[in-house]
Order: sequence, then C-alpha cells, then structure tokens
Amino acid sequence: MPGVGTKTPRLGMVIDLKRCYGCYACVTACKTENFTPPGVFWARVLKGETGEYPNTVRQALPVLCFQCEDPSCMTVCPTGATYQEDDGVVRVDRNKCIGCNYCKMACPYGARYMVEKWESYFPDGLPLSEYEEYAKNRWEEKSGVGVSTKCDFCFERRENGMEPACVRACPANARIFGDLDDPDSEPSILIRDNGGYVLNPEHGNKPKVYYLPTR
Amino acid sequence: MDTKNFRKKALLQKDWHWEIAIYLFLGGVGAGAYVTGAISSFLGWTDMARWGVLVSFPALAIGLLFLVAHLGNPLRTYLAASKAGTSWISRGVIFFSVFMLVAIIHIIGTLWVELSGTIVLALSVIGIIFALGTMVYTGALLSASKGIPFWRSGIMPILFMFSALATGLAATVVFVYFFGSTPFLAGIAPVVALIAAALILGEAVVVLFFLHAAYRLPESRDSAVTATKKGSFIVGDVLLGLLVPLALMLYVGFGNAGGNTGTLMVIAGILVIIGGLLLRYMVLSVGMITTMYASGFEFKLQNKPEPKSPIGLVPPGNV
Repeated sequence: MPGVGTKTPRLGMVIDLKRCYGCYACVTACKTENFTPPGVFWARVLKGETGEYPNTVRQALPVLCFQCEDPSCMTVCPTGATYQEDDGVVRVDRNKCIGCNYCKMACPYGARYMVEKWESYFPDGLPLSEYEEYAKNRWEEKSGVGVSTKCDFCFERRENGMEPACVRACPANARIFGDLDDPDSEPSILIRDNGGYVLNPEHGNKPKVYYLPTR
Repeated sequence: MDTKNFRKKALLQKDWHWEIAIYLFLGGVGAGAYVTGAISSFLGWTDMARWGVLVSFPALAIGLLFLVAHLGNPLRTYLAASKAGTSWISRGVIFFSVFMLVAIIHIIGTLWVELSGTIVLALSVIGIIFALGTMVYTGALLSASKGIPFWRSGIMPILFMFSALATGLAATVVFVYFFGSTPFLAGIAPVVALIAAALILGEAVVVLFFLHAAYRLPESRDSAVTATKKGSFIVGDVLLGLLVPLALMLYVGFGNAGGNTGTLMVIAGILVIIGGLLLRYMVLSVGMITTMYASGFEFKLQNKPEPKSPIGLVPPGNV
C-alpha cells in the first residue's frame, strides 16, 4: 500500500480512458465516502464528443483534484490555508480559509468547491433522515461550511491503509493509485509504457493524475 | 452538418458576482479620485484637490464592506495578508490598507488638522504610489486566475487602471459640481474635460484591445462573444459609459459649451461612473471556466442540470 514505507511517496493516479465507460461509480463512491452535499463533486465524470456525423465518438473523462505539484490554488491562497502534504497531496486547512473563492478561480481543472450553506438532497421542509443528519455533521466537522473544499485522495482512508474510494469502486479498474516516485509501481509502469499524459499541461501546474490514451 | 451549433458553452463562473464587481469598481473610484485630488493639489486646483481626496476614503471603505460581506468566513479577514509573496489578494490587502491609511490621514489634514506642506506632499506621493498599486491590483487579481481564461490577460491591469482613473476623475468632478465652491471649476473646466476625454478614449481603446485579444484566443472566445452580446455592456458601458461622455467631454473641452459646461460635465461624469461599474460587472459575469482536452476530445464543465425527478434529486455527472 502506498504511503506506508520508509520514504515519503509522491502519490498520484493513473486513469485509463480505454477502460472507463462512464458509469459514475467513482462519483457515487466519492459522495458516499465524503458526504459531499448537492452540487459538490470532488470526483466527477465529464462527457465529450468528437468527429462529424455519422462518425462521432463519445468519451467519458473522470476528473478529480489532480494534486498538482505546482498548484495554482496554493499560489493564490491569501492565507496559506491551502497547503501540500509531504506526499504531495494538496489539502485545505479549514481553520485558516476565509472563503474568498480565489482558489476556485485559479484552478484550471475546476476541482474546488465551496458550500455556503449545507443543503439536503431532498426538498425543503422534510425532516432530515438519520443518514442525512450524520452526513451533515460529518461534513460540518471535516470540511466545513463557508470554506473551500477539495478532494484529498481520501485522506482518512489512506491513513487506515486503504485506497481512495473512487479507485476502490471503479468496476473497470480504470483507476490505478500509487507512488509516482517508485519506478516499479503500477502507475509509473503504466505511464511509462502506455504514453500517460496530463490534462492541459500548458497551465504549468504539473498535475499528478495521468491519463492513458483512449485507443 | 454544421457541428458548431452543437458546441457546448463552458461553465460561467458564479462565485464572484456583483459584490466583487462593486468592490473592484469602488476600489478603482477611490484610487482614481485620490490620484485626481493629489495631482490637482500640485496644480493648485483647490476644489478638485479637496474633493478628490474626500471621495477616496469613503469609496474604499464601502468597497471593502462589499468584499468582506462576500467572504465565506468574514471574521478571518485579518489572515488575508499572510501570503504576499504569491497571492494577489494578500498584496491587494497590503496596498489597500496602506492606501486607506494614507487617505484617511490626508482627509483629517484637509478637514480638521492643519498639516505642513511637506507632510501633505509626502502623503500625496505615498498615496499616489499605493493608489496606482491598488488600481493595478484590482486587475492583476483577475489576471492571475488560471481557471478563467477570459481574465488571464495582461491587459486586465491596464484596463482597470484606465477605468479607475476615468471614474475617479468623474467622481471628483461630480462632487465638485454639487458641493464645491461656485463658480464650477472656474477657468479650468476645458482642461479637466480634455484630461477626462483622454482617459475615456484610452479606456475605450484598451477595452477594444482586451476584447479583441480575448476573441483571438480559442479558450476565451466564448466569453468575448458573450460580452459583446450583453446589452448592459454594449449600451451601458460602451455607448453610454464611453462614447457619449467622450463626445460631451470633447465638446466642453473645445470651449463650445458656454453656460452648460457644468451640466454637461456632470452628465458625462455620472455616465462614466455607471459605465465603470458595468465594465467590472461584465468582466466578472462572462468569465468561463477552462476547457479540458484529452485524446482529441474537448471536455467542458457544464452548468448544473435542472432537477428532473419530482423529489429533487440531481443526476450526477456533467456538473
């Protein structure tokens, strides 16, 4: 398991676009794990199209926070609330965040979310169910309201020696999580052998989530 | 088949809206008015000098209230200056605070306490420097946002600087007209009108360059096109906020206005001020989040779909 070794790993992920068929399992797994309220999608699946009729192709693109090596959200953060762990995961200190949303404007991958007021998935006026009550409390104690939030590669799961929820849930094994510094780790091998690339390298953020080509 | 009609538009940013527009606008007005006042005092235009300085601090303070009100955690605002090395918000907090301090001292010196000429001169010079810093900051704040290609333009600070100077001068003229000593701008009205005309013309040229540059870049083209289709921008800012006041100021400047000088300049001034606010609002409201590219596909973040199910569940994905 990455993160349990003598040397600090450089955590990253590989997403194989050949394998992803856009089932949104990662989205729901992330929601179940992190109790994100409506409108907050730390893990997300985008759909894109290319080609001219009738020769068109549709492709799913699962995205999450890419835990960039030079994160622009951290650069613009005025309080230092956004910081990088030793393993390269970018996190938010909820006690320092002033909720200015500058990180959201600075992230070229749209990975930031702020919740101004916790909302239920169900219409106003209905009493919260037990699960919702729990979800609300968890969200308010872990991520918070009025502060910026983001994916942290499931920090608590990793602390307990587990992989991030989206990786675990992927039925197609399209997500591979591991140490990018270790040349023998699965993600490193896949990136090297299959032409892994990062999205929009022109932003200069050096994301640590790599994609394998569609075909 | 024309595939272009099926191109999806990128997601409009919804987090910085009118509060931030008002803040950026009032910050510009305050800074511009202070620069107007300080330079007028060097030139011996007493009414302009007095009202320029008096307008600056209230404009900044009200703007700051709007900014703080939009924060998710207003009580922690004091932390915002911690990262001046990298963050434009931190730099802005420093510029803004020093500038507000200078402005309030200058106002106290204008209204209640007699300050010596040297102190006023020193205050003016420091004030002008930090006022210019504040103007540049309001633009640089946006141009440092990697997520919004439309804002990521080196022209942004120049655009906001021109707008700040024009709106600041306009605000000063309006206040002098209503509260200054009569006769209105005795003898200097044509000169002031010509300076205003030059600033408005400069702003108009920069707006044109800015939109053109945004249009030339594929990633910000949608934003630029949306901007040119916005009535509040084309009618409110370009026509009423730039072209009409430019014509009025030129008319006054070349000495044809006679008894109507004051009225025309105030109308032009008010139009410039409204135009400045609409410009900030336009820039913020048409900002779209970047598009991602993977293996020849284009992926855009989409607006949240309307809930389809009767119990209000939002389908996941494409959000």
